Amino acid sequence: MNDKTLKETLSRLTIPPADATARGRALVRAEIAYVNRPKGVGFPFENAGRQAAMADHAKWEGGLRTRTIALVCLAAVVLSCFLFFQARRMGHEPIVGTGTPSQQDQLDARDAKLLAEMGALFRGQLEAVISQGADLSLDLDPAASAATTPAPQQPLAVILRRGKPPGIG
Amino acid sequence: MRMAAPETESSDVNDEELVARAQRDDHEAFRELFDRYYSMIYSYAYRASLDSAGAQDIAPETFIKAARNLETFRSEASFKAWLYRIATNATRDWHRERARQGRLSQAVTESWDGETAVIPNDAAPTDRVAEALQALPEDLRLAIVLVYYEGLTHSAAGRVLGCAETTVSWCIFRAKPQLKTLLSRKEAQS
Repeated sequence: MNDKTLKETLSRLTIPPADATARGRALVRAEIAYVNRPKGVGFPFENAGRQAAMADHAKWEGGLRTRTIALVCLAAVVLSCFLFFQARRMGHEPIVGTGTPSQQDQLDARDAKLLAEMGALFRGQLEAVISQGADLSLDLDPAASAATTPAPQQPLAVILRRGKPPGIG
Repeated sequence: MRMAAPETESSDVNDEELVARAQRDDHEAFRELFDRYYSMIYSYAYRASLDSAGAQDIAPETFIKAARNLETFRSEASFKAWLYRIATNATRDWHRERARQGRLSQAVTESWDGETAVIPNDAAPTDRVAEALQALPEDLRLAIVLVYYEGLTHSAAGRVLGCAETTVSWCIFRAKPQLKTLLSRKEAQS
């Protein structure tokens, strides 16, 4: 049996005709219930003020919710930006840069002096002096440096690490 | 398959207007609504209960409840769907009451020592379609009646039954093979 046959078969259901007396009784009972129905519960124009107030309140609540969400989102964006730039500063800025301008000048002068000394030591060979960290300390052993002096043609990069390595001085 | 139709289509006044007038104590408007929908609700009540006496109980009960709660009706829903919902609840109440009476009757019979006479139930359906429908669980039968007989969509039937559209689809899906089996068996027997 397919769906079409099922529908056709179902349509054969016979309904006994409604009894006119029962219908009349039903009408009378319904009319009695209609006449005695509780009134004013939901008449379209009753409670209109209350309904309007409730609608306004719902609208206000909706607006407040939207505003709160927008404010929270804005705060989250600002906080994210702040943290992002803070992280970038922490990651890229040299620590010496955090000093006061006078300290920075002193450090620059020291660096320049060191560069000059290193330039004199490895004359014509020095490609770059790279400094890392704070508190430069250079302890050169003249004998060792003389023994390990490279050939004049050999390019040289000297890396100076700020701070004293363990075991020195 | 649409089998139920409003009793009188002659009136041009739509349901919403009639309800609004009835809410303003227009007696004639209420009577017009009754005339318009009594047959439809009676047919629905019979298909849902498969009992003519039951239909004659359910249909008036539906209109009494509708009259009492007329003020709560809002025009967002159609009046017809609202009536279907009331009739569905009345049908469920009727089934519950009948089941309660059945249990009570059984208890009385069991406690009775004397002879008992079997009284034939005239209201029991003799139609094979009615028998097949009666074999279905109540929820499946209501879904079949609303969708196949009353012509409601699954979504509208869901609103009447107070469940989701997918639940109605599932009920129809489950009811169809059961109905086909029952009807085929009864056809083979006859």
